[in-house]
Amino acid sequence: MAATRPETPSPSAVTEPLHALTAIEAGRRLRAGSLTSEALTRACLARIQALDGIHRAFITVTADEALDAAREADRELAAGRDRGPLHGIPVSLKDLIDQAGAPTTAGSRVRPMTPAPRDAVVTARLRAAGAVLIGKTNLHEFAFGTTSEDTAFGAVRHPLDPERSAGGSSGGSAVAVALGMSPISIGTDTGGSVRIPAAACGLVGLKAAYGEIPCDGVVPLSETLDHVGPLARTVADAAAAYCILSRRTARPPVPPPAGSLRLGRLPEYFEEVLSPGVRAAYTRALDMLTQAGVRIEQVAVPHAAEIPAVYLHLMAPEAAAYHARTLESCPERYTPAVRARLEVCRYMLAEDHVRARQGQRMLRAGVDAALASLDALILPGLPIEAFPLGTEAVDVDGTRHTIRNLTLRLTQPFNITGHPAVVLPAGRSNGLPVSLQLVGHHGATPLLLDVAAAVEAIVAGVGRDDGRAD
Amino acid sequence: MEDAIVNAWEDWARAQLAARGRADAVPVFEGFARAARTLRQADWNQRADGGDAPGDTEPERRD
Repeated sequence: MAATRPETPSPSAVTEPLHALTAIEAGRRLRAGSLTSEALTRACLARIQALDGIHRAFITVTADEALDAAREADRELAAGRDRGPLHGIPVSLKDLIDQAGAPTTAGSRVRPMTPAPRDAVVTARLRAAGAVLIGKTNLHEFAFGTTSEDTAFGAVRHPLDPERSAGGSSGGSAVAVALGMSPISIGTDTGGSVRIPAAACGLVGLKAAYGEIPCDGVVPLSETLDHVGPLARTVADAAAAYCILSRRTARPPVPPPAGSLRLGRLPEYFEEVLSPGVRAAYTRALDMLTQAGVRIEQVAVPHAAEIPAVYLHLMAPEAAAYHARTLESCPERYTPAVRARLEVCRYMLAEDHVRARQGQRMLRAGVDAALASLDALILPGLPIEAFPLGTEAVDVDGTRHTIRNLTLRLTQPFNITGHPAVVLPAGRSNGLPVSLQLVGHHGATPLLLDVAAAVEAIVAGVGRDDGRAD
Repeated sequence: MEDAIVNAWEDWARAQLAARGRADAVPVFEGFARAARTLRQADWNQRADGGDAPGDTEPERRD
Protein backbone atom coordinates (compact mmCIF):
# COMPACT_ATOMS: atom_id res chain seq x y z
CA MET A 1 0.00 0.00 0.00
CA ALA A 2 1.29 3.46 -0.84
CA ALA A 3 1.73 5.94 1.99
CA THR A 4 -0.16 8.53 -0.07
CA ARG A 5 -3.32 6.45 -0.39
CA PRO A 6 -6.34 8.76 -0.03
CA GLU A 7 -8.38 8.45 3.13
CA THR A 8 -12.05 7.50 3.03
CA PRO A 9 -13.07 7.73 6.67
CA SER A 10 -16.32 6.24 7.89
CA PRO A 11 -18.66 8.60 9.77
CA SER A 12 -17.88 6.89 13.06
CA ALA A 13 -14.14 7.21 12.43
CA VAL A 14 -14.49 10.96 12.23
CA THR A 15 -16.03 11.27 15.66
CA GLU A 16 -14.48 8.36 17.59
CA PRO A 17 -11.62 9.10 19.97
CA LEU A 18 -8.28 7.62 18.98
CA HIS A 19 -8.35 4.84 21.55
CA ALA A 20 -11.67 3.64 20.12
CA LEU A 21 -10.39 3.13 16.57
CA THR A 22 -10.15 -0.38 15.22
CA ALA A 23 -6.71 -1.43 14.05
CA ILE A 24 -7.82 -1.38 10.43
CA GLU A 25 -9.30 2.12 10.71
CA ALA A 26 -6.24 3.40 12.57
CA GLY A 27 -4.02 1.90 9.87
CA ARG A 28 -6.05 3.65 7.21
CA ARG A 29 -5.51 6.96 8.98
CA LEU A 30 -1.80 6.29 9.47
CA ARG A 31 -1.38 5.74 5.75
CA ALA A 32 -3.43 8.81 4.93
CA GLY A 33 -1.19 10.91 7.13
CA SER A 34 -4.07 12.07 9.34
CA LEU A 35 -2.81 10.15 12.37
CA THR A 36 0.59 9.23 13.74
CA SER A 37 1.48 6.01 15.49
CA GLU A 38 2.96 8.10 18.29
CA ALA A 39 -0.37 9.88 18.87
CA LEU A 40 -2.25 6.58 18.77
CA THR A 41 0.21 4.98 21.18
CA ARG A 42 0.00 7.95 23.54
CA ALA A 43 -3.80 7.67 23.49
CA CYS A 44 -3.58 4.00 24.45
CA LEU A 45 -1.03 4.75 27.20
CA ALA A 46 -3.36 7.44 28.53
CA ARG A 47 -6.19 4.90 28.74
CA ILE A 48 -3.93 2.54 30.69
CA GLN A 49 -2.93 5.37 33.02
CA ALA A 50 -6.54 6.41 33.57
CA LEU A 51 -8.24 3.02 33.97
CA ASP A 52 -5.79 0.33 34.90
CA GLY A 53 -5.78 1.13 38.59
CA ILE A 54 -9.30 -0.29 38.65
CA HIS A 55 -9.30 -2.91 35.92
CA ARG A 56 -5.78 -4.35 36.29
CA ALA A 57 -5.39 -5.33 32.68
CA PHE A 58 -1.62 -4.88 32.61
CA ILE A 59 1.25 -6.35 34.58
CA THR A 60 4.00 -4.50 32.70
CA VAL A 61 3.65 -1.42 30.49
CA THR A 62 6.55 -0.94 28.08
CA ALA A 63 5.80 2.72 27.41
CA ASP A 64 9.28 3.92 26.40
CA GLU A 65 9.86 0.98 24.07
CA ALA A 66 6.38 1.47 22.60
CA LEU A 67 6.91 5.16 21.92
CA ASP A 68 10.28 4.46 20.29
CA ALA A 69 8.66 1.83 18.08
CA ALA A 70 5.79 4.18 17.26
CA ARG A 71 8.14 6.96 16.17
CA GLU A 72 10.06 4.47 14.04
CA ALA A 73 6.79 3.32 12.44
CA ASP A 74 5.91 6.94 11.68
CA ARG A 75 9.29 7.47 10.01
CA GLU A 76 8.94 4.30 7.95
CA LEU A 77 5.38 5.00 6.83
CA ALA A 78 6.30 8.56 5.92
CA ALA A 79 9.14 7.15 3.82
CA GLY A 80 6.76 4.79 2.04
CA ARG A 81 7.87 1.62 3.80
CA ASP A 82 4.70 -0.26 4.75
CA ARG A 83 5.06 -3.44 6.80
CA GLY A 84 1.38 -4.38 6.64
CA PRO A 85 -1.89 -3.92 8.50
CA LEU A 86 -0.45 -3.72 12.03
CA HIS A 87 2.38 -1.35 11.17
CA GLY A 88 2.30 1.35 13.85
CA ILE A 89 -0.60 -0.27 15.72
CA PRO A 90 -0.29 -0.82 19.50
CA VAL A 91 -0.55 -4.49 20.47
CA SER A 92 -0.42 -5.98 23.95
CA LEU A 93 0.76 -9.49 24.84
CA LYS A 94 -0.60 -11.80 27.50
CA ASP A 95 2.13 -12.11 30.12
CA LEU A 96 2.69 -15.72 29.21
CA ILE A 97 4.39 -14.72 25.95
CA ASP A 98 8.05 -13.69 25.97
CA GLN A 99 8.92 -10.16 24.97
CA ALA A 100 12.67 -9.57 25.08
CA GLY A 101 13.60 -7.16 27.84
CA ALA A 102 10.42 -7.60 29.89
CA PRO A 103 9.71 -10.25 32.54
CA THR A 104 7.23 -13.04 31.72
CA THR A 105 5.41 -13.49 35.02
CA ALA A 106 2.60 -15.83 33.91
CA GLY A 107 0.58 -13.94 36.52
CA SER A 108 2.54 -15.71 39.23
CA ARG A 109 5.13 -15.11 41.93
CA VAL A 110 6.67 -18.46 41.04
CA ARG A 111 8.62 -17.08 38.10
CA PRO A 112 11.55 -14.69 38.59
CA MET A 113 11.04 -11.03 37.60
CA THR A 114 14.02 -11.17 35.26
CA PRO A 115 13.64 -9.93 31.68
CA ALA A 116 13.05 -12.51 28.96
CA PRO A 117 16.28 -12.85 26.94
CA ARG A 118 14.51 -13.12 23.60
CA ASP A 119 11.16 -12.76 21.90
CA ALA A 120 8.68 -15.58 21.48
CA VAL A 121 8.21 -16.45 17.80
CA VAL A 122 4.87 -14.63 17.69
CA THR A 123 6.42 -11.55 19.33
CA ALA A 124 9.20 -11.51 16.75
CA ARG A 125 6.63 -11.77 13.96
CA LEU A 126 4.66 -8.84 15.38
CA ARG A 127 7.82 -6.73 15.67
CA ALA A 128 8.79 -7.57 12.11
CA ALA A 129 5.30 -6.48 11.03
CA GLY A 130 5.84 -3.09 12.68
CA ALA A 131 3.45 -3.60 15.60
CA VAL A 132 4.02 -1.37 18.63
CA LEU A 133 4.37 -3.62 21.69
CA ILE A 134 2.75 -1.66 24.48
CA GLY A 135 2.82 -4.07 27.42
CA LYS A 136 2.14 -7.43 29.03
CA THR A 137 -1.39 -8.23 30.19
CA ASN A 138 -2.69 -9.82 33.37
CA LEU A 139 -4.05 -13.35 33.41
CA HIS A 140 -5.24 -16.21 35.55
CA GLU A 141 -2.06 -17.62 37.07
CA PHE A 142 -0.25 -19.82 34.54
CA ALA A 143 -3.39 -19.68 32.38
CA PHE A 144 -4.87 -22.32 34.68
CA GLY A 145 -8.31 -20.83 35.24
CA THR A 146 -11.11 -18.98 33.50
CA THR A 147 -11.83 -16.01 35.77
CA SER A 148 -8.51 -14.05 35.89
CA GLU A 149 -9.03 -13.71 39.64
CA ASP A 150 -6.25 -15.99 40.83
CA THR A 151 -3.26 -13.88 39.84
CA ALA A 152 -0.39 -12.39 41.78
CA PHE A 153 -1.20 -8.97 40.32
CA GLY A 154 -4.79 -8.40 41.42
CA ALA A 155 -8.01 -9.68 39.91
CA VAL A 156 -8.79 -8.44 36.40
CA ARG A 157 -12.08 -6.52 36.40
CA HIS A 158 -14.71 -6.50 33.67
CA PRO A 159 -14.71 -3.44 31.36
CA LEU A 160 -18.41 -2.72 31.88
CA ASP A 161 -18.75 -3.66 35.55
CA PRO A 162 -15.63 -3.82 37.76
CA GLU A 163 -17.44 -6.09 40.20
CA ARG A 164 -17.57 -8.82 37.56
CA SER A 165 -15.01 -11.15 36.03
CA ALA A 166 -13.65 -10.40 32.58
CA GLY A 167 -13.30 -14.14 31.99
CA GLY A 168 -9.98 -15.80 31.47
CA SER A 169 -7.39 -16.80 31.39
CA SER A 170 -6.54 -13.97 28.96
CA GLY A 171 -8.71 -11.56 30.97
CA GLY A 172 -6.24 -8.68 30.90
CA SER A 173 -6.02 -8.93 27.11
CA ALA A 174 -9.80 -8.69 26.79
CA VAL A 175 -10.00 -5.66 29.08
CA ALA A 176 -7.11 -3.98 27.25
CA VAL A 177 -8.96 -4.23 23.95
CA ALA A 178 -12.41 -3.44 25.33
CA LEU A 179 -11.20 -0.30 27.12
CA GLY A 180 -9.07 1.02 24.25
CA MET A 181 -5.70 0.32 25.88
CA SER A 182 -4.62 -1.53 22.74
CA PRO A 183 -6.78 -2.28 19.71
CA ILE A 184 -5.39 -5.81 19.56
CA SER A 185 -4.06 -8.15 22.22
CA ILE A 186 -2.49 -11.56 21.83
CA GLY A 187 -3.67 -14.25 24.23
CA THR A 188 -3.41 -17.98 24.61
CA ASP A 189 -6.16 -20.60 24.53
CA THR A 190 -5.80 -24.08 26.03
CA GLY A 191 -9.46 -24.68 26.85
CA GLY A 192 -10.96 -21.36 25.77
CA SER A 193 -8.69 -18.73 27.29
CA VAL A 194 -8.90 -16.39 24.29
CA ARG A 195 -12.55 -17.07 23.47
CA ILE A 196 -13.97 -17.02 27.03
CA PRO A 197 -12.78 -13.50 27.93
CA ALA A 198 -13.53 -12.25 24.40
CA ALA A 199 -17.08 -13.56 24.79
CA ALA A 200 -17.45 -12.14 28.30
CA CYS A 201 -16.27 -8.70 27.18
CA GLY A 202 -18.05 -8.43 23.82
CA LEU A 203 -15.02 -8.93 21.56
CA VAL A 204 -13.81 -11.11 18.73
CA GLY A 205 -11.45 -13.87 19.85
CA LEU A 206 -9.76 -16.33 17.50
CA LYS A 207 -8.23 -19.72 18.19
CA ALA A 208 -6.72 -20.83 14.89
CA ALA A 209 -6.28 -24.51 14.09
CA TYR A 210 -3.85 -26.40 16.31
CA GLY A 211 -0.25 -25.83 15.26
CA GLU A 212 -0.94 -22.92 12.88
CA ILE A 213 0.56 -20.34 15.22
CA PRO A 214 3.77 -21.37 17.00
CA CYS A 215 3.89 -21.51 20.79
CA ASP A 216 7.70 -21.29 21.09
CA GLY A 217 8.57 -18.79 23.80
CA VAL A 218 5.15 -19.11 25.44
CA VAL A 219 4.84 -20.60 28.95
CA PRO A 220 2.94 -23.85 28.36
CA LEU A 221 -0.11 -25.19 30.15
CA SER A 222 -0.66 -28.26 27.97
CA GLU A 223 1.37 -28.58 24.82
CA THR A 224 -1.17 -30.71 22.98
CA LEU A 225 -3.97 -28.20 23.65
CA ASP A 226 -2.18 -24.81 23.74
CA HIS A 227 -2.92 -22.23 21.04
CA VAL A 228 -1.94 -18.56 20.62
CA GLY A 229 -4.55 -16.18 19.22
CA PRO A 230 -5.72 -12.58 18.92
CA LEU A 231 -8.47 -10.64 20.68
CA ALA A 232 -9.84 -7.66 18.77
CA ARG A 233 -12.98 -5.58 18.28
CA THR A 234 -13.75 -6.82 14.77
CA VAL A 235 -13.25 -9.89 12.66
CA ALA A 236 -11.14 -7.81 10.24
CA ASP A 237 -8.76 -6.80 13.04
CA ALA A 238 -8.49 -10.39 14.28
CA ALA A 239 -7.82 -11.56 10.71
CA ALA A 240 -5.04 -9.00 10.31
CA ALA A 241 -3.35 -10.28 13.47
CA TYR A 242 -3.91 -13.91 12.48
CA CYS A 243 -2.14 -13.41 9.15
CA ILE A 244 0.90 -11.98 10.91
CA LEU A 245 0.97 -14.58 13.69
CA SER A 246 0.66 -17.45 11.21
CA ARG A 247 3.00 -15.78 8.71
CA ARG A 248 0.42 -15.67 5.96
CA THR A 249 0.07 -12.95 3.37
CA ALA A 250 -2.26 -10.25 4.71
CA ARG A 251 -5.76 -10.94 3.43
CA PRO A 252 -8.85 -9.08 4.71
CA PRO A 253 -11.81 -11.42 5.22
CA VAL A 254 -14.17 -11.66 2.26
CA PRO A 255 -17.67 -12.36 3.55
CA PRO A 256 -19.57 -14.78 1.29
CA PRO A 257 -23.21 -14.04 0.39
CA ALA A 258 -25.54 -15.08 3.20
CA GLY A 259 -27.55 -17.25 0.83
CA SER A 260 -24.53 -19.43 0.14
CA LEU A 261 -23.75 -20.12 3.80
CA ARG A 262 -24.53 -23.45 5.49
CA LEU A 263 -24.08 -23.62 9.24
CA GLY A 264 -24.67 -26.48 11.66
CA ARG A 265 -26.09 -26.03 15.13
CA LEU A 266 -25.57 -28.61 17.86
CA PRO A 267 -28.64 -28.88 20.10
CA GLU A 268 -27.31 -31.95 21.92
CA TYR A 269 -24.87 -31.01 24.72
CA PHE A 270 -23.81 -27.65 23.22
CA GLU A 271 -27.22 -25.97 23.62
CA GLU A 272 -28.38 -27.86 26.71
CA VAL A 273 -26.93 -25.60 29.42
CA LEU A 274 -27.44 -21.92 28.62
CA SER A 275 -28.60 -19.08 30.84
CA PRO A 276 -32.00 -17.69 29.81
CA GLY A 277 -30.39 -14.48 28.57
CA VAL A 278 -27.79 -16.27 26.49
CA ARG A 279 -30.41 -18.63 25.08
CA ALA A 280 -32.63 -15.69 24.08
CA ALA A 281 -29.78 -13.78 22.40
CA TYR A 282 -28.57 -16.94 20.66
CA THR A 283 -32.07 -17.68 19.35
CA ARG A 284 -32.41 -14.10 18.11
CA ALA A 285 -29.08 -14.35 16.30
CA LEU A 286 -30.06 -17.64 14.64
CA ASP A 287 -33.35 -16.07 13.55
CA MET A 288 -31.52 -13.12 12.02
CA LEU A 289 -29.15 -15.41 10.17
CA THR A 290 -32.04 -17.49 8.83
CA GLN A 291 -33.92 -14.38 7.75
CA ALA A 292 -30.78 -13.23 5.93
CA GLY A 293 -30.80 -16.47 3.94
CA VAL A 294 -28.27 -18.55 5.87
CA ARG A 295 -29.19 -22.25 5.94
CA ILE A 296 -28.88 -23.71 9.43
CA GLU A 297 -29.03 -27.47 9.96
CA GLN A 298 -28.96 -29.60 13.09
CA VAL A 299 -25.95 -31.85 13.57
CA ALA A 300 -24.42 -33.77 16.48
CA VAL A 301 -21.01 -34.76 17.81
CA PRO A 302 -20.93 -38.26 19.35
CA HIS A 303 -19.30 -38.56 22.78
CA ALA A 304 -19.89 -34.88 23.54
CA ALA A 305 -20.83 -35.74 27.13
CA GLU A 306 -17.32 -37.07 27.72
CA ILE A 307 -15.62 -33.87 26.55
CA PRO A 308 -14.77 -32.47 30.01
CA ALA A 309 -13.24 -35.76 31.12
CA VAL A 310 -11.21 -36.08 27.94
CA TYR A 311 -9.98 -32.50 28.27
CA LEU A 312 -8.95 -32.94 31.88
CA HIS A 313 -7.00 -36.10 31.21
CA LEU A 314 -5.16 -34.60 28.26
CA MET A 315 -4.32 -31.36 30.03
CA ALA A 316 -3.54 -32.42 33.58
CA PRO A 317 -0.52 -34.70 33.04
CA GLU A 318 1.15 -32.08 30.86
CA ALA A 319 0.51 -29.31 33.38
CA ALA A 320 1.83 -31.54 36.14
CA ALA A 321 5.02 -32.30 34.24
CA TYR A 322 5.73 -28.60 33.75
CA HIS A 323 4.99 -27.58 37.34
CA ALA A 324 6.29 -30.61 39.27
CA ARG A 325 9.59 -29.02 40.24
CA THR A 326 8.21 -25.70 41.47
CA LEU A 327 5.32 -27.39 43.27
CA GLU A 328 8.02 -29.08 45.35
CA SER A 329 10.47 -26.17 45.66
CA CYS A 330 8.17 -23.17 46.20
CA PRO A 331 4.53 -24.26 46.52
CA GLU A 332 3.69 -21.26 48.71
CA ARG A 333 4.29 -18.89 45.80
CA TYR A 334 1.30 -20.21 43.85
CA THR A 335 -2.15 -18.80 44.49
CA PRO A 336 -4.01 -21.38 46.65
CA ALA A 337 -6.64 -22.49 44.14
CA VAL A 338 -4.18 -22.90 41.26
CA ARG A 339 -1.76 -24.73 43.52
CA ALA A 340 -4.46 -27.18 44.65
CA ARG A 341 -5.49 -28.02 41.10
CA LEU A 342 -1.91 -28.36 39.89
CA GLU A 343 -1.03 -30.66 42.76
CA VAL A 344 -3.94 -32.93 41.95
CA CYS A 345 -2.84 -32.96 38.30
CA ARG A 346 0.08 -35.07 39.51
CA TYR A 347 -2.31 -37.79 40.66
CA MET A 348 -3.53 -39.19 37.36
CA LEU A 349 -3.47 -42.73 36.01
CA ALA A 350 -1.51 -43.18 32.78
CA GLU A 351 -4.22 -45.47 31.42
CA ASP A 352 -6.75 -42.63 31.77
CA HIS A 353 -4.49 -40.38 29.72
CA VAL A 354 -4.44 -43.07 27.03
CA ARG A 355 -8.25 -43.25 27.12
CA ALA A 356 -8.37 -39.48 26.74
CA ARG A 357 -6.20 -39.70 23.66
CA GLN A 358 -8.59 -42.28 22.23
CA GLY A 359 -11.40 -39.88 23.04
CA GLN A 360 -9.54 -37.05 21.35
CA ARG A 361 -9.34 -39.02 18.10
CA MET A 362 -13.05 -39.89 18.29
CA LEU A 363 -14.11 -36.33 18.99
CA ARG A 364 -11.95 -34.98 16.21
CA ALA A 365 -13.53 -37.43 13.77
CA GLY A 366 -16.94 -36.52 15.16
CA VAL A 367 -16.47 -32.79 14.56
CA ASP A 368 -15.08 -33.48 11.08
CA ALA A 369 -18.18 -35.56 10.30
CA ALA A 370 -20.52 -32.89 11.66
CA LEU A 371 -18.79 -30.27 9.51
CA ALA A 372 -18.62 -32.40 6.37
CA SER A 373 -21.27 -30.61 4.31
CA LEU A 374 -21.17 -27.30 6.16
CA ASP A 375 -19.17 -24.09 6.16
CA ALA A 376 -19.02 -23.93 9.95
CA LEU A 377 -20.65 -25.03 13.19
CA ILE A 378 -22.45 -22.37 15.20
CA LEU A 379 -22.98 -22.28 18.96
CA PRO A 380 -22.72 -19.75 21.79
CA GLY A 381 -19.23 -18.81 22.96
CA LEU A 382 -20.06 -18.79 26.65
CA PRO A 383 -23.14 -20.34 28.31
CA ILE A 384 -23.56 -17.49 30.81
CA GLU A 385 -23.05 -13.76 31.01
CA ALA A 386 -20.07 -12.26 32.87
CA PHE A 387 -20.47 -13.22 36.53
CA PRO A 388 -19.58 -11.42 39.78
CA LEU A 389 -16.00 -11.86 41.01
CA GLY A 390 -15.80 -14.57 43.65
CA THR A 391 -18.58 -16.70 42.16
CA GLU A 392 -17.73 -20.40 42.41
CA ALA A 393 -20.92 -21.94 41.04
CA VAL A 394 -24.20 -20.88 39.46
CA ASP A 395 -27.61 -22.45 38.84
CA VAL A 396 -28.72 -22.89 35.25
CA ASP A 397 -32.17 -24.39 34.69
CA GLY A 398 -32.20 -25.60 38.30
CA THR A 399 -28.87 -27.43 38.13
CA ARG A 400 -25.74 -26.27 39.94
CA HIS A 401 -22.62 -25.89 37.79
CA THR A 402 -19.13 -24.81 38.81
CA ILE A 403 -17.93 -21.68 37.03
CA ARG A 404 -14.88 -23.53 35.77
CA ASN A 405 -16.86 -26.33 34.13
CA LEU A 406 -19.46 -23.97 32.74
CA THR A 407 -17.05 -21.48 31.23
CA LEU A 408 -14.99 -24.21 29.56
CA ARG A 409 -17.99 -26.18 28.33
CA LEU A 410 -18.38 -24.69 24.84
CA THR A 411 -14.78 -23.87 24.04
CA GLN A 412 -12.65 -26.80 25.27
CA PRO A 413 -14.09 -29.24 22.69
CA PHE A 414 -12.22 -27.45 19.92
CA ASN A 415 -8.94 -27.40 21.79
CA ILE A 416 -9.29 -31.17 22.01
CA THR A 417 -10.08 -31.50 18.31
CA GLY A 418 -7.82 -28.66 17.12
CA HIS A 419 -10.45 -27.13 14.83
CA PRO A 420 -10.26 -23.34 14.31
CA ALA A 421 -12.89 -21.44 16.30
CA VAL A 422 -13.80 -17.80 16.66
CA VAL A 423 -16.20 -15.96 18.98
CA LEU A 424 -17.89 -12.69 18.08
CA PRO A 425 -20.41 -10.41 19.78
CA ALA A 426 -24.11 -11.13 19.35
CA GLY A 427 -26.01 -8.66 21.48
CA ARG A 428 -26.45 -8.26 25.20
CA SER A 429 -28.28 -9.84 28.08
CA ASN A 430 -28.99 -7.60 31.06
CA GLY A 431 -26.48 -5.14 29.66
CA LEU A 432 -23.72 -7.75 29.42
CA PRO A 433 -22.24 -9.12 26.19
CA VAL A 434 -23.39 -12.38 24.64
CA SER A 435 -21.40 -14.12 21.92
CA LEU A 436 -21.61 -16.55 19.04
CA GLN A 437 -18.93 -19.11 18.28
CA LEU A 438 -18.14 -20.45 14.81
CA VAL A 439 -16.03 -23.55 14.24
CA GLY A 440 -14.39 -24.22 10.89
CA HIS A 441 -12.61 -26.97 9.03
CA HIS A 442 -9.03 -27.94 9.76
CA GLY A 443 -6.66 -26.09 7.47
CA ALA A 444 -9.28 -23.49 6.62
CA THR A 445 -8.98 -20.72 9.20
CA PRO A 446 -9.11 -17.96 6.54
CA LEU A 447 -12.41 -19.38 5.29
CA LEU A 448 -13.72 -19.45 8.86
CA LEU A 449 -12.83 -15.76 9.14
CA ASP A 450 -14.73 -15.09 5.90
CA VAL A 451 -17.79 -16.80 7.41
CA ALA A 452 -17.30 -14.88 10.66
CA ALA A 453 -17.22 -11.58 8.76
CA ALA A 454 -20.52 -12.46 7.10
CA VAL A 455 -22.11 -13.46 10.40
CA GLU A 456 -20.71 -10.36 12.11
CA ALA A 457 -22.42 -8.12 9.54
CA ILE A 458 -25.75 -9.91 9.91
CA VAL A 459 -25.93 -10.11 13.70
CA ALA A 460 -24.75 -6.53 14.18
CA GLY A 461 -28.42 -5.63 14.38
CA VAL A 462 -28.89 -7.80 17.48
CA GLY A 463 -27.35 -4.92 19.36
CA ARG A 464 -23.64 -5.16 18.84
CA ASP A 465 -21.67 -4.35 21.93
CA ASP A 466 -18.02 -3.51 21.56
CA GLY A 467 -17.57 -3.57 25.31
CA ARG A 468 -16.03 -0.14 25.51
CA ALA A 469 -16.77 1.88 28.60
CA ASP A 470 -15.70 5.38 27.66
CA MET B 1 -17.03 -49.94 37.24
CA GLU B 2 -15.42 -51.46 40.31
CA ASP B 3 -11.71 -51.91 39.84
CA ALA B 4 -9.52 -52.96 42.76
CA ILE B 5 -6.44 -51.26 41.37
CA VAL B 6 -8.30 -48.01 40.79
CA ASN B 7 -9.88 -48.10 44.23
CA ALA B 8 -6.51 -48.71 45.89
CA TRP B 9 -4.96 -45.94 43.81
CA GLU B 10 -7.65 -43.45 44.79
CA ASP B 11 -7.31 -44.34 48.49
CA TRP B 12 -3.55 -43.92 48.26
CA ALA B 13 -3.90 -40.55 46.51
CA ARG B 14 -6.29 -39.20 49.16
CA ALA B 15 -3.97 -40.37 51.93
CA GLN B 16 -0.96 -38.85 50.18
CA LEU B 17 -2.62 -35.45 49.83
CA ALA B 18 -3.64 -35.49 53.49
CA ALA B 19 -0.16 -36.59 54.59
CA ARG B 20 1.35 -33.72 52.62
CA GLY B 21 -0.89 -31.28 54.42
CA ARG B 22 -3.01 -30.77 51.35
CA ALA B 23 -6.41 -31.88 52.62
CA ASP B 24 -7.78 -28.79 50.83
CA ALA B 25 -6.90 -30.45 47.53
CA VAL B 26 -8.90 -33.60 48.27
CA PRO B 27 -12.21 -32.15 46.96
CA VAL B 28 -10.38 -31.27 43.75
CA PHE B 29 -9.14 -34.84 43.57
CA GLU B 30 -12.69 -36.14 44.00
CA GLY B 31 -13.76 -34.09 40.99
CA PHE B 32 -10.90 -35.46 38.94
CA ALA B 33 -11.76 -39.00 40.06
CA ARG B 34 -15.37 -38.54 38.93
CA ALA B 35 -14.14 -37.38 35.53
CA ALA B 36 -11.87 -40.43 35.31
CA ARG B 37 -14.82 -42.72 35.97
CA THR B 38 -16.70 -41.04 33.11
CA LEU B 39 -13.74 -41.65 30.87
CA ARG B 40 -13.49 -45.34 31.82
CA GLN B 41 -17.20 -45.95 31.27
CA ALA B 42 -17.28 -44.41 27.78
CA ASP B 43 -17.46 -46.76 24.82
CA TRP B 44 -14.43 -45.68 22.85
CA ASN B 45 -14.86 -48.50 20.35
CA GLN B 46 -17.70 -46.79 18.48
CA ARG B 47 -16.49 -44.43 15.80
CA ALA B 48 -18.46 -41.33 14.80
CA ASP B 49 -19.45 -42.86 11.47
CA GLY B 50 -20.54 -46.13 13.07
CA GLY B 51 -17.40 -48.05 12.07
CA ASP B 52 -14.68 -49.48 14.24
CA ALA B 53 -12.39 -47.50 16.47
CA PRO B 54 -9.49 -45.65 14.86
CA GLY B 55 -6.58 -47.98 14.32
CA ASP B 56 -8.77 -51.07 14.49
CA THR B 57 -8.27 -52.99 11.26
CA GLU B 58 -10.68 -55.78 12.15
CA PRO B 59 -13.43 -55.83 9.46
CA GLU B 60 -16.93 -55.05 10.66
CA ARG B 61 -19.13 -58.14 11.03
CA ARG B 62 -22.10 -58.07 8.69
CA ASP B 63 -24.01 -61.10 9.94
